[in-house]
Amino acid sequence: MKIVPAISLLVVLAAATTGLYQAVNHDRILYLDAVRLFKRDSYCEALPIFQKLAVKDFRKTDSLIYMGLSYEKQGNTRDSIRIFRQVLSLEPSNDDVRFKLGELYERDHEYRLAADMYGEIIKKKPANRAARVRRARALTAMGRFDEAIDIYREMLGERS
Amino acid sequence: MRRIAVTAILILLICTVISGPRPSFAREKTAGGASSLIAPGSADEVPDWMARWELARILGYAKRYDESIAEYKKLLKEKPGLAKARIEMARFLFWSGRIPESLEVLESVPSAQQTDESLLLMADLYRARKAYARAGPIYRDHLRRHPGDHAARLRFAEMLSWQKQYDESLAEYRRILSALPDDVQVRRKYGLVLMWANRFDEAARELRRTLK
Repeated sequence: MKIVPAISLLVVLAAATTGLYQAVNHDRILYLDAVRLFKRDSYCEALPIFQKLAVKDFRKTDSLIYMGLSYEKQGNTRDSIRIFRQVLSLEPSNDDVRFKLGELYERDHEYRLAADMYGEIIKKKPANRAARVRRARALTAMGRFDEAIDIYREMLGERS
Repeated sequence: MRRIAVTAILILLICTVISGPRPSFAREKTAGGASSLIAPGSADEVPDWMARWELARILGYAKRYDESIAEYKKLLKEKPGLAKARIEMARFLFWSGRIPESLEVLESVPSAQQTDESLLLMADLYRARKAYARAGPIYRDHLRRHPGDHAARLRFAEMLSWQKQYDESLAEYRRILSALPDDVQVRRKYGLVLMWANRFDEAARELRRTLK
């Protein structure tokens, strides 16, 4: 007669698994809905959903990236920077995030911070031309012409 | 006993149906992935000719004109159709005092590709070469389209005064002063032109205003 508790345990387990799965599935559906909203340029509606998902750690990096991009699309550069800094703290080796932050800092006229971001990428990948050009542009915007000139000359293989 | 087992199996089946299809976690990883959205794209790739163009421009800003011109020449050898680069090069030639060369470069730009800015530069170059008859119509046309460009109007007013066209020159000065009544330097120049036009009382009055 051990079959009754065994079956009861099985039922409880099944119910618990189903409940858990429902919760996860709910977040997944929410996430995909938010992505759809983002792709339809409905950033205002997508933002709170991504925020909620990020707080719940559901695909946190992706949710945060979408949040940062939504702020950016809305012209809210400061909040976009704040979010991408969070992403960078989660993924310190992600140079795409670093590049994005560089772009946002440039847009916010924070040229020194932008140049630093690109500089960190160049330190790891000296052949990254996009980062080198962006750093040179940021340095130019700060009036540091000679440093920018050196970068361009290096890129063109003309450094004396 | 059998009923219990059947009931349990039914509950399990119902749970399975309710929970829907099992998610594909492999798909989950890529569906709606955001990383690709921030990866630098092809627009961030800078070809050598563009890097050289930026280098030429920055050398110009840094007042290293000879180096800048050399880079522009290399660039234009590779991309002769870059009218904008040609115009920039003409400007740096002008800033470095190489007026005839600057004019030559600017005149080589097809008229359809001239901009308001390049035409004004051309007027300034004609003025510098004392080719006033060529500069005048360009200034007039520019000021008709940009009446608020006081710096260009001042250069035009000066040029008219050098040609002894005092009435027209003074009219241009008055237009500037109506917009910038507190500009002491413009008023002093206005006073000088009044003197050259033998209108001494007015000149004295205007010059006195600049000393208050």
